[in-house]
Amino acid sequence: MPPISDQDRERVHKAINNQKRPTVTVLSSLLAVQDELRYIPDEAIEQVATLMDTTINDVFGVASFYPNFRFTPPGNHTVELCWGPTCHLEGSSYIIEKVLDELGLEGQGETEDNEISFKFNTCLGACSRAPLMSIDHHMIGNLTPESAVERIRSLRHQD
Amino acid sequence: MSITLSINANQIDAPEGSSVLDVVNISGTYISQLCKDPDMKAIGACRTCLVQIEGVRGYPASCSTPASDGMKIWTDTPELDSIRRGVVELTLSMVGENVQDGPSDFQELSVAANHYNIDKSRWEPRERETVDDSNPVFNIAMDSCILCGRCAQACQDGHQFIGAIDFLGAGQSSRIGTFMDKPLLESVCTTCGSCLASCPTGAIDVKFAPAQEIKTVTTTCPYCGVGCGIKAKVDAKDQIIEIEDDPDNLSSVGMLCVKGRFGFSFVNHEDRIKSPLIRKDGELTPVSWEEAMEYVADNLIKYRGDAFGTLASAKATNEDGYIQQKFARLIMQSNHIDHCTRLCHSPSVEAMLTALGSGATSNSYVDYEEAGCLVVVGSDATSNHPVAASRMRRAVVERGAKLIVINPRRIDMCDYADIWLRPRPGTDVALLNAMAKVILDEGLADTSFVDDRTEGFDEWREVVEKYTLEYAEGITGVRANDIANAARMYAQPPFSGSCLIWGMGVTQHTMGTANAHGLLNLAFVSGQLGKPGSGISPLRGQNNVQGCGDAGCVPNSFPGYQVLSDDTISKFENAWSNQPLPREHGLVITDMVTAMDDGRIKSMYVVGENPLLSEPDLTHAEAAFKKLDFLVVQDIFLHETAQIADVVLPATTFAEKDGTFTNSERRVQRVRKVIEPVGDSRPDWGIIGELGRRISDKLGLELKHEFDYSHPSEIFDELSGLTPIMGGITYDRLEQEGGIQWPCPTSDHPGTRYLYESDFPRGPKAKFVAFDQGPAADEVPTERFPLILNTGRILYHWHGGTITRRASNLMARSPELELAINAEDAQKYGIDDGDWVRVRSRRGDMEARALFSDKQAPGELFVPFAKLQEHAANYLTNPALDPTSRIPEYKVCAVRVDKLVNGEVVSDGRRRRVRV
Repeated sequence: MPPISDQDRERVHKAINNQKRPTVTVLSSLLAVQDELRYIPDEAIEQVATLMDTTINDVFGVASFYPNFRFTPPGNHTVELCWGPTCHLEGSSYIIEKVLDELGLEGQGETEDNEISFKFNTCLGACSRAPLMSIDHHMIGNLTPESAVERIRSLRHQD
Repeated sequence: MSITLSINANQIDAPEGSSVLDVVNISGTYISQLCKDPDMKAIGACRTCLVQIEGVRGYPASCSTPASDGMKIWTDTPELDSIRRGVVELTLSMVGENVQDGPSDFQELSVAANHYNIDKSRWEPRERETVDDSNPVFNIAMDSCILCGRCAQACQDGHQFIGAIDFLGAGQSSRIGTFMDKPLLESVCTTCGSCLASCPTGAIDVKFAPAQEIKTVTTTCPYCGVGCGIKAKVDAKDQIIEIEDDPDNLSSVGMLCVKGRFGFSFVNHEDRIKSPLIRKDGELTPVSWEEAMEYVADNLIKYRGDAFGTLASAKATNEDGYIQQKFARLIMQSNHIDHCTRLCHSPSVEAMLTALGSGATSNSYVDYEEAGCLVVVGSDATSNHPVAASRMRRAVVERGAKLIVINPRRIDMCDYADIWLRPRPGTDVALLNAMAKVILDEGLADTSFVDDRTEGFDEWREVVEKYTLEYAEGITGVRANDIANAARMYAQPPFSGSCLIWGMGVTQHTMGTANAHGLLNLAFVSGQLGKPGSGISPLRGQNNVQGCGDAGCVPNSFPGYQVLSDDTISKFENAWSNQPLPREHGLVITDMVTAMDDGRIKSMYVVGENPLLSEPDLTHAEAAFKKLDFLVVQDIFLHETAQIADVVLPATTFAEKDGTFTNSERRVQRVRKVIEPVGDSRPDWGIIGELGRRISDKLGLELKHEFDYSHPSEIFDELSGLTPIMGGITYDRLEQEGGIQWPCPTSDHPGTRYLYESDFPRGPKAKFVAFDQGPAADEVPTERFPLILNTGRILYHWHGGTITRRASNLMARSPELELAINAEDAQKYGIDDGDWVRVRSRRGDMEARALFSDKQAPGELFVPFAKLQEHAANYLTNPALDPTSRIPEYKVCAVRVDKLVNGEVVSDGRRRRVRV
């Protein structure tokens, strides 16, 4: 992976050193980095290890434990599609099929142009509006396969 | 203190502090214990060592339950059996369908499964990940991993303190992997193999399964001066197939590095010289031993006295060294005997002889672990003394010791350092004097030590007085504040004492002896000597460089550093059949080369050394060696020096002979014969003894009996009888007690952990010796040669590489000479990462692959001095000598670097002009 820019390095430094919370931990620092850059580069792990006075292995051990941390830059937009029980009953499997086709993916991951990161989610916490997905943390409910594909297409056209 | 417990109603005595599992093991009862390494702390992950204890609820894991007096323990009740079978069966499901596959069984897991009569797991196997086969020596195959965590423990805290592998992920996707989940080869892995040694299932295993072993011999590693214990396994074809660590060894406590564990294939390498060779019509021709011995004896006779010089081998045993110096002094009547210490630690030895009266490491490795502060000066211990470095890291990580690194390169130890001082190369005297001044000015000196146990303080103080922090900062480039903090930390560590540890970065300078004195003065002024957890340690590079000096292979003293005086000369004359011995000091190796050049030395007998790779300015050294009338080389490979010899005698390696090595901490350890000599080779002591007998006969000296030994133990008895510091050591004691640290004057003396508790070999007082900072180096960068070249070693190659080049596992890890260059310099000279470059100095040139590295400052280059693909750094190095110890300045020479395309220089180092 290419080294991060000086600017990003500075952002990481600020993010982990200005945590507004009573206890700063490895986990809180990793969250701060992920919030800032949307992923955790190697160097951020080194910085967290230095801050917390521990080894990079211990930090990476924690980071790799949580599937929501990512270590490569995400796409410009994040699409999370719920496949929890309610959404499943409301037909999310048909939506998944169409969306994956649209994105040209087999499963979770980034599109070839790195425009969109696609993830499954077990519950977005809004079952009353099932089936639903979130685009860049905005909930879109009562989906049909067609409306979901439409939304994703419009993302690409925005840029 | 011991405690008594009952295991399945049998009374068992066990030492206090044992775990329940230890007691079960003492009782001889089998119980599965998949995650417990015998040398390491309990992890408690596998849950197969469950027991029942009367009065304790549930089924505790015995490995992590402390044993106490009167406990009643059961290991095989029906409930236990049922639970344990369940656990083993579940564990077996982790290695899945592969149970029946291939030759590799699942080692300890299979043993447990067989014991409990489980042949197949009822459960579906886990999803399998791929195999990491990036390391050329071993694979990590997750498909037979049970996630016990032993490998991660071995790699990290608790054992090697390297930290290449650890648990990653969670739940189903848990696995053993590296930082950022990269291939092992791209991680900080040093291929030490500790993970492999601890893996209970064979998930981490060598690429090619070794043959069936028929015996295992415990002996001592032949590489660096740490002196690790190894267990060599031998197959039916009498070849070494595998090396294991020896947990009982007192110096290595169950650790090994990549060279010790995987670098053994040189022993059976096809390049071994298998019969004596005599140069006939310009060609080295195989001959019989009889012919070779007669020929050598007839020729050597002509050069008795000052025309004869000999180089002893710091790779050979103490016994070999003793016989060689006896041969040189008694038969050849010459004190021109020296060994490679001249090229590494002679400044340390000279300085310590002057200041203390003895040239040995004062402390033991265990003192590193107990120290409150470690100062590592000019030593890349991680590469050169990996196991000692692990013990230093243990001090830092487990006990919170402070670590100060003084090195112009950013070595790996810096990762653990509290303070890293980066002086400009060759400015150590100013730095050390400034540290001493801080200690004096701030009242941190140990005044009672200085008053009672040292002399020369006032003269020294006057010299040091001018090294203010500002003055030192100007010379060394190290921030004043850092110098002061380092001095405070060293003089007053948070607990225990401070250890000073140094390597070639201190000694291989024209100011080498001054540097060593600077370090010693620092130890004296702060009293960090002669108590546990303190001391002074020059780390020795070769397995037996300590022992070679101890055995008397130096031009100015007999065995045990008994300097040539009328008394000692007559002592040895009496011991050796009253034959007169030469009385003048002999020449050191670097001066011998000069003496060869001007014709004073006409014949050399080189044993186990390759001076035409290790001498500085090789072109000049080659010319000098070619002027010799008669050159005998005795070695295991036909190396550069052997190729120009008149006679080459095939010697055996460490694996084919008995003897002793003495390591850096003065520990005398047994070397045991593992295999029969390869080809017609013979042990050094046998060859030299035979020559002694023949020459004695030819001259009618009646000294034949002086070289008549049937076993090295007889030589050792003679050596210890004449050497008070080793007087109490015998083979029998070594057999029973393991290694013994000299001084050990009597047979009931336990050996000495640290020296100088109450006095010094030179008398009651140690001596301050003052030095001023001189020119940083003999050669400074110029317009034509703008860069400074530093030489040293890398982990995978040992010294000149004559041995490691022939160890396939090590070559696989490091096949090419790599020139470490700062990206800033590389850009200036138009070099990309991975380009072939030519490096030139005033004396010669070499080629290497450029490797970007931020370990050295801009303007400095680093290259290992191993010879790979016919390129060697010592064609470039400067033979300028330290005036006292005569060590060459290997660490600094001015060079230029040019990019190569198809073997041609394409850019000019000075003007950045591209010709193509």
